[in-house]
Amino acid sequence: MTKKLSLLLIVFFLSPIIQADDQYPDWSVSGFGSFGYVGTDTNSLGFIRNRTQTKSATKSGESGGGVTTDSRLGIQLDVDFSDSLHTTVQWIARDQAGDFFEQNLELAFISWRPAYDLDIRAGRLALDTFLISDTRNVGFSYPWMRPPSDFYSKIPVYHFDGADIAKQFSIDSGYLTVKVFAGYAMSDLFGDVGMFDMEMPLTGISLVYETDNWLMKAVYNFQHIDTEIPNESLLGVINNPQFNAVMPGLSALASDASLKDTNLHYMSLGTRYDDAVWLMHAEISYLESETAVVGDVLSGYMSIGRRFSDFTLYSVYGIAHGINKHVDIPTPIVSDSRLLGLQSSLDLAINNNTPKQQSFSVGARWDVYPKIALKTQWVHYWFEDNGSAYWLHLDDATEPSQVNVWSVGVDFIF
Amino acid sequence: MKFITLSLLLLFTSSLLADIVVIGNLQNSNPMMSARAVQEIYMGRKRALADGNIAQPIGHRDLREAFYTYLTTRPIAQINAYWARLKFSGHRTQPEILSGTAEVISKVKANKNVIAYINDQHVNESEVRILFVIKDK
Repeated sequence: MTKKLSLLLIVFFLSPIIQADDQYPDWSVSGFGSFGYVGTDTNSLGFIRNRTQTKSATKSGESGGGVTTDSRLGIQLDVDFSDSLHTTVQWIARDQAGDFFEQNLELAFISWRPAYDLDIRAGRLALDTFLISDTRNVGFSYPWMRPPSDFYSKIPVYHFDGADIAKQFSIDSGYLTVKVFAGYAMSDLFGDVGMFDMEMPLTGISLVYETDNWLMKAVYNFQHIDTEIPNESLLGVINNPQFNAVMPGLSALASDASLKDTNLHYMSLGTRYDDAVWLMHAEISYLESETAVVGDVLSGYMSIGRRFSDFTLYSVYGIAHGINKHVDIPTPIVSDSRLLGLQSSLDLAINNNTPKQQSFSVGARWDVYPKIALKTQWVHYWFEDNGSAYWLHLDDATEPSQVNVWSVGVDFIF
Repeated sequence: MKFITLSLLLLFTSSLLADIVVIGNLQNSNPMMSARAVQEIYMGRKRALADGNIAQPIGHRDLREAFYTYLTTRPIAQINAYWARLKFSGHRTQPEILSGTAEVISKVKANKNVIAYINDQHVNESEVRILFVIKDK
């Protein structure tokens, strides 16, 4: 009986394939890649695209970055089982914290199109939070070396396991796509505290309106964090009874030093204009969190490019501004230099996690062949109030207030 | 000799200056397509033909650049970058690109929802239906 049931189930799930005509299954393999080199003018801060990366770019290159920062190679398998049933698997070789195979599996989903304007997908999907967050690894698809880091560092989660439903509407001369998604993200991240696992149920909605040259996008995304950041030493101090005896109210700071069971809300608006000569991208977003570990962050960027035949010249201004509510650290009831030092250290650890940085870039892209582009970019970053939260802190030296980052690379598709 | 040279020249230039036609299966009963309708399908913005069936657009390797330049006035590198964004986000399947006209026609004949573009010199209207004509300028 069990065997019969299994057979029936197999037939049921394979029926779209079995009933398909001769042209199915139809499959194709394609891919994309980038190879680049990044250099900076400091060894105190390590430049990373986001917290998924374990190696950072520096002046000396000793932290292992430079080549790995922008280099990646992706391969994608697409299979059509019928005109309404499709599957996509995409895997990307890149510097990524955690399991190299599992964490780099970017897409693995089945999509079903019950109608031409309706898409239902289930499996591993790219997190669609910002304008290009689901294609940020595909360097060939954008003009820069990498998406503006002031903005895209904020959300280091690339993918989630779940489902989305997208419905398209024809409005005037354009198309509106409304998508809702929900699932569970499991991402391995790397920071000054070492590697940690970030797991979270999430849900969101995105609206995209596209006309000939314009694309406008609005996204809301809710995430609930199920895992803790490994800051046991900080929490150990905060929960220490002896310290609490001399610094009353210290244990109340535990929630400000914790990530677990906190909620994140992302709201973003983005637009792109491309008339084949001029190219403009702009985005603004607000991240609201319930913990000082993440803070509230307002960020945005604007990029303008001009094409001259196969050359594109562009410049970008970006900003990430943490607007954390300041957490007051209890003052010791006895005047002791060590306790005052502890108060100062706690202030730094809890109130210094949000970014306060701006950047200005100029760069160029040269489409040397229809599927190969050479790129270069120079970025000047400035920080306020030790606002280099998106960077790795490699030594105890005073943080520089400005850093230059330059890069060259090649992007291709196949 | 002059006649042969002239004939060869005409033969050569006529193949270069030929129109591109968008073709469909003989059972495709949709009305003739507009440039916009063709563009929307080949740019992945719209999936359906006028009758609501899901279109299956096919590309032709040798004509792809001229086809997209006419439809969008964009160089092929920009089209490739555009499709890289749609395809590698997992939202759209890029039109399959075939290398031979015979292969393209065979695909069109095999499925009533397939549309494709070929050089008009290769059109046999007893085999396929013309849905749109791109006049060579």
